[in-house]
Amino acid sequence: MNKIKLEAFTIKDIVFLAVITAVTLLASGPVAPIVMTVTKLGAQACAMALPFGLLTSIGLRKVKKSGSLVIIGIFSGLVLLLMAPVMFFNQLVATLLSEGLALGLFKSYENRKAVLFSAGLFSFFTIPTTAVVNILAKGRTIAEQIGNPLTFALLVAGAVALGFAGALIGNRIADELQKAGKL
Amino acid sequence: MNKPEKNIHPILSLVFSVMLFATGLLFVKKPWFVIYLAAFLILLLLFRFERTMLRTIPFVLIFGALTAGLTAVNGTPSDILYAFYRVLALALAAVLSISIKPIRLVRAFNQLKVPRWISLGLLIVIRFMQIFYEEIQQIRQAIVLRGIRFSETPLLWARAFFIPLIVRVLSISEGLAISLETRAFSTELEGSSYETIDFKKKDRLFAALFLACLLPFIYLSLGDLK
Repeated sequence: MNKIKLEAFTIKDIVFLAVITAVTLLASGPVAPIVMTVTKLGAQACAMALPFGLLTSIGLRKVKKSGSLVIIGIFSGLVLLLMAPVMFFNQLVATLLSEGLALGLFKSYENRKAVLFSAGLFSFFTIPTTAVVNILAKGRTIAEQIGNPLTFALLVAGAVALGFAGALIGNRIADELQKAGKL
Repeated sequence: MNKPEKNIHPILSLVFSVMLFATGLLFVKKPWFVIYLAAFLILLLLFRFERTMLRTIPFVLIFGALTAGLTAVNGTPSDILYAFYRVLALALAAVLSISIKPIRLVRAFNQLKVPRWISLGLLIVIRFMQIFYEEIQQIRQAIVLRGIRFSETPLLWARAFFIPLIVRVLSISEGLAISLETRAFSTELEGSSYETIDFKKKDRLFAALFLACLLPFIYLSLGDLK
């Protein structure tokens, strides 16, 4: 049975993952007002799903080492820590869960499905962390955060669908770049 | 000769920024929230943060109006006020973190023995956000010149936007990695620091006054809980 391989990251890998994180944060800039103002659970994840799914999947196609998504999560979390401290834990926990699930199922990023799952579910996994943070910091119960169950279900489905759509587009872009010999 | 450093120790700024953010959100609904805000505004002004505070004013006005506007859709007047207060709390915490110079933060991280790959990555992300913002503007201008509109051909627009962007990402990261390797930068070796970041008298004074301002409000908040 295949095992999850742990490889050391080179300077090249770290630099690429840091640069792709910078672009991901910039690309998700236009949705920042929604993320900051909407209090409904799942809305933030839904808004961030597409840019995060798209760009992180390209990052994972280039650096196919276990832990790449967690490194992206640490870098984006550290930058967001300067603006909204809770976002650090949000990003870190989401990347750990998403990468853990993807590598648990597919073992390595050589398998494209692992890239798709890892990048696609990144935003979805921010939902539980956001819920816990809201309970601890703002004292809001789960029922208060969810509001209308139907809206919540739609937001969660939207986060998953947009995340996977972003990861699929990212994979397509990576394929084109690979064909052109750029990746 | 090095100029005397005006800013507070970066780690101290980061820790106090987190504390201001957390307490600000917790205290938003307290009747004395305005006094809390005023106390820290005075403290920040005393320590010459006025330029950074001026830089956050557009953010407060735009995000404050947006937040209040969105809350006004189905919120009460007090909800609108609390939404605006949250933006103020965020801006207050951001004053401290925005004032941190990335290179000083990285040096402080190195002194704290934070792994080199983390401090290097953080520096790259902060530095390259500005560079890629300019790259994105150039790509968008090129798209406009080619007559591609998002509203008419979204797929073509996305292709014309993302492919050049990722190609730039790849070439910039490649160049940067080679540049770092030729300077013998490694994730495994321990590097030396050009400058040591020490705690100065000003930092200790700021820390004492900050805690002196914060503790009474925490006490008041705990009193409210009883």
